[in-house]
Amino acid sequence: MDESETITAKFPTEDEVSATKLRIIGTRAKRVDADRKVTGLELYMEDINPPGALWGKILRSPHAHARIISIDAAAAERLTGVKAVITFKDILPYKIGMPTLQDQYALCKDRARYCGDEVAAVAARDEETAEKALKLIKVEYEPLPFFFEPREAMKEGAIALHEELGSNIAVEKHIEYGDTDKGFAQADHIFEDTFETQRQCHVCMEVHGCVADWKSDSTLSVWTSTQSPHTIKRYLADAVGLPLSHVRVNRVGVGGAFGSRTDLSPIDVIACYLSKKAGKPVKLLLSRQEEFYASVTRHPSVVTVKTGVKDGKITTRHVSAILNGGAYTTQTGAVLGSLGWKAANYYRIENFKFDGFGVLTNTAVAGAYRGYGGPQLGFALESQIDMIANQLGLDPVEFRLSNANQTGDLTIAGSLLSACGLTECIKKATTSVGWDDSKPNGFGRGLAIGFGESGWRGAYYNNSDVSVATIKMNQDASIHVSVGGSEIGAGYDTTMGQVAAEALGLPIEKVKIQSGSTDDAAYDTGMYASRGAITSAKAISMAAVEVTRQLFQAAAKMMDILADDLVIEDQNIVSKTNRNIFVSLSEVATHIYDDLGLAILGTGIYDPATHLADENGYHQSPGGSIAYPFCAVAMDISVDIETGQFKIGKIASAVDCGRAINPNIAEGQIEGDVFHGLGLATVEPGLSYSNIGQPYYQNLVDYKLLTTVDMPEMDSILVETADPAGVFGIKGITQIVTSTVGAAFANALFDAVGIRIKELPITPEKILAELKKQDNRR
Amino acid sequence: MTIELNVHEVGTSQAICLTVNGDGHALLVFPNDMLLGILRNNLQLTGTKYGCGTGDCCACTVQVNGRSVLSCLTLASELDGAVVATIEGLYAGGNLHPIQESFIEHGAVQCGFCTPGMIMSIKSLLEENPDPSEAEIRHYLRGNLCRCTGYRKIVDAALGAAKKLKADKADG
Repeated sequence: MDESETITAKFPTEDEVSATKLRIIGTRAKRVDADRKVTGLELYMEDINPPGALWGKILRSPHAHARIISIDAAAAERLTGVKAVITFKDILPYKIGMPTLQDQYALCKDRARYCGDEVAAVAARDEETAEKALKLIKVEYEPLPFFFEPREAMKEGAIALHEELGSNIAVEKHIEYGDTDKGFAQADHIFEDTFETQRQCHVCMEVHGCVADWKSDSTLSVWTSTQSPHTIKRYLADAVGLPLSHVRVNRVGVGGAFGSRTDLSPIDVIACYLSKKAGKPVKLLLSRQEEFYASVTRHPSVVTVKTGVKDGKITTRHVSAILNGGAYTTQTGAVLGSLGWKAANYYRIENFKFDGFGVLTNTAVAGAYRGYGGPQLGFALESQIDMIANQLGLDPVEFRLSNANQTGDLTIAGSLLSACGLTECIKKATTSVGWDDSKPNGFGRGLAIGFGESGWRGAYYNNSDVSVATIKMNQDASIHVSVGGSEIGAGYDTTMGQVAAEALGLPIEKVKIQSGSTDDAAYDTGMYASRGAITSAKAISMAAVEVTRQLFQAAAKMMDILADDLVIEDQNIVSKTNRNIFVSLSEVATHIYDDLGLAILGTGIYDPATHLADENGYHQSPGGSIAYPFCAVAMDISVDIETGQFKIGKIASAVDCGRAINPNIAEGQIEGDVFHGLGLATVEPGLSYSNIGQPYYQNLVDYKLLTTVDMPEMDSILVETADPAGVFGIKGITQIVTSTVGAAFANALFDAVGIRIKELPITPEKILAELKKQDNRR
Repeated sequence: MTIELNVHEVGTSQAICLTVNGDGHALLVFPNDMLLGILRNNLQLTGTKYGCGTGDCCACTVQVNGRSVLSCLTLASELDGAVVATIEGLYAGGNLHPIQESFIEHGAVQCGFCTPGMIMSIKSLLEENPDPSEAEIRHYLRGNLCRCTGYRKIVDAALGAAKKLKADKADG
C-alpha cells in the first residue's frame, strides 16, 4: 500500500485536514438505499399497514376565520364502520409549535383560523367510510373577519387571530450591529428597494401523514416520514401525555421533505388520539388537495433593503422584512431571525440593522422550507446589488468581488469564516456560462451569490446543537453505526457510512448505518440548518477514535508492542516502525470478544463550540453556526420581446462545500436546489386565496412544477475549501443555491432586455407588461 | 339506528384475470377500483406509488400489455386478461435491470418516491425507441414529476440505460 494512502483512523486535526489523502470521502460511492429504492422495496408511510389498521380523515374548516359554536358528531359515530370520532374535547390541551410561541392545538378549540384548519377527525374501516362520516359531522360556525395580507393584519384595530397575543404581529426582531445612522450619513450613495415573494408549496411527491398504533398498555408507536425523529418524539410525548420511554417514532422512507417534515404536525397528534380512542392502529394520509391548502408552505415576504455605498464599497445595510406566517406561528420567529442574520453576513459591511415582523394571517401555516428565509432575502439583496452596480456604472462581477468575504474574516454578525471560497465560486460560475462572450439582442446573463449556515445552535427545545453516534464493531470487523439524523433523500445514510469507513480504514461494504427509529438510533436534534453532515460526521469520528483505542489496546498486547506505534492500514493493525508486524482487524476484534470477554463499542457526542445570540442578537465568534457555505449562481437567458417568453440556456452553480463527501450526492443537492429556486422564480404560482377565503391551486395542474422539458442545462461545480471547522473539511450545503437562483434570474432578465421585476414569480405576462411600459417610456 | 352501507357492499363486483409480473391472479373487483389500489392493496405490490390520484405526477406508472399507463386512472374492471408489469418485476433472479443499475450509477435516486414510476416510463420509452436523444428522453418524461433532482441525473440515467441495453443486445 502506498505510504500516502495510510489512514490513521484518528480523525485528522485541523492542520491535517487539507493534507490528508482521503480514501472513501470524495468518491461517488453507491447510495446505500439505492437498491431498495430502484426496486420499489423502500417502505414509505403509505406502505405501512399494521394488522387491523383503520383509515383516518380530518374534517377541516371551510371558513378562513370562524368561531366554532358547536360540533355534533353523533350521526358520524353511528355510521357502520366508524370506530372513532375526535374533537378538541378528546385531546390534551397541549399547544404545538416552536417553543418560543406554541400556539396551535392539534384540533381547534373554539376557533378556526384558516380554510383547512383541523376541526375534527374520524377513524373508520376504510377511506370511503371515513369520508362519508366527515360529511355527517355538523359544525356550527360564526364567521369572523379575516386577513390574507400581513400589511392589513398588522394594522392597529385588526381583530387578533390569537386573542392572547393582542395583535397579529406574532414576533418582532430588531438588531443593529455598528451604527447605521452614521453609515448612511457618510455614504456617497444610498439605495432603497422593496421586493416581494409568493407562498411556495413544498410539493413533496409523497403526501404528509402518520401511521399510529396506541396500544392498551400505553405504548405508542408511530411511523412517519420525519426529518427529526427524536425531536418530534419529545413534542409528541408531551402532546399525548406519555413518558418518552413509551413513545417510539419510526422514521420510514421519506418521499421528499425540504423542511416540511421538520416539526411535529397536527396530523401526528390526531392520528395518535384516533388510535387511542379506536383501540386500533390508524393510518392517516393527506390527499394531494389537502397537501396544497393544509400543510406548511414557504413564508410570503416583503423585504426592503437600504444600502449605503462609499468609494465602491458596501458599508451599511438596513433590511426590513415582513413575513406572512399564516394562522399559527410555528417556525416564523426562527425563519425571521435567520433571514436577518443571513443578511448581515453576505458582504464585508461595517453597519447593519434589521427590523423584522412575523405576522399571522388567515392562511395556511408557513414553516421551514429549504433556504429558511434565504430565498426571500437573496432575491432582494442580490437583485439590488445589480441595480446599484448598474446605477453607479460598475461591473456587477467586480462590484461583488471587491466586497466579497474572504477566508479568515469575522463578519459583522460574529461569524468566523474559517474557509470562504466565494471568490472562486464567482469566477467558476461566471466562466461556466461564458460571462464575457458577446451577446445577441434579447440575450442576457445574470449572477447572484449566496450565504448560508451549516449547523445551528438553539433550535427547538435545546440550547445545544448536539449529535450522537455509536459504533459497534463485530467479530469480522464490520460495524454498526447508529446515528440520529434522518435519511430524507439527501444521502445522509450513505455519506455517514463513508465517514465511518474513512475513519476506521474499512471498505464501505463493512459499514451498516442505523438511523431512523428513536429506539435504535442515537440521539440527534434533527435534519435542519444543513447540519446533518457536519454534526453527525464529527460524532462518528469521535466514536471511531474510541473504537480505535479499544482495538489498539488489545492489539498492542497481542503484538507485544506499544499502542503508540500502531496504525490501521488495509484492514490490518500495523506497526508503524516495522510494517511486517501486523494483525488483521478481525483477529483483534474476535480476540476482544472471545478471549478477553469484552465488546467493542465507541460513542461520540458532539456539541460544537458555537454560540447562542446575546441580548443584542449578536453571536460571539465563531457564531451560531459551525461552518458557513457560500455559492455563486450564474445563468443565461434569451427573451422573446414579442411574447415575454424566455428560455434559460444554462445555470451554473458553484458551491463552496468545504469538501464533498460524495460528489454524486452533493451535485444532486445543488440540482435540487436549482429546481426549487427556479420554480419559485418562474412558474410556481404560490398558494393564494379568493376573496371569500378559499384557496386556489389545489392540484398539480394548476400549481405548476418545472418538468424535464423546462429544466435548463445545469453545471454543478463543487468548490472544495477543506473548512477546518468541519471534520474532514466538510460543511453542509443543502439550501443555499435555492436562495440564490431568483436574483440570478432577475439579473439575467435585466441584462437581456433592461427590465427590473421585483416580485416573484417572474412570468412571461409580467415581462410583457414591463416591456410595454418600457416601450411607452421611449 | 340508521345503517349505511358503503359502495363496496352495494356495488356490483366483477371477476377478472390479471397477469402481473408473470403471475396469474383471479380477482374480484368493484366498478370504482383503480389498478393502483388493486396492485397495492390486493396484491401487496407497494412499489407502485400514489402521488396524486389524478394522473398529474406519473408516480403510479406501470405497463399494461406493454404500454405505459397511469394506474391511478385505470379502471381494474376493464383489464380482464391484461398483462401488467410493475417495478417489482424488473428485479429478477437477484439481478437488477439495466435501467435500475443506471439509476444507481448516475446518482439519479434521492428520496426515491418518483423512482419506480420514472423507471417504468423509461422502460416503455426504450422499448419504443431504443436509441433516444436527450431531447426525446426529456419529452417522453415530461409528465413524471420529481421534486428532488432537477431531473438532470435521471435523464443521464436514461441515456446510460439505453447504452447498456444496446450493449447487452450486441453481446447476445
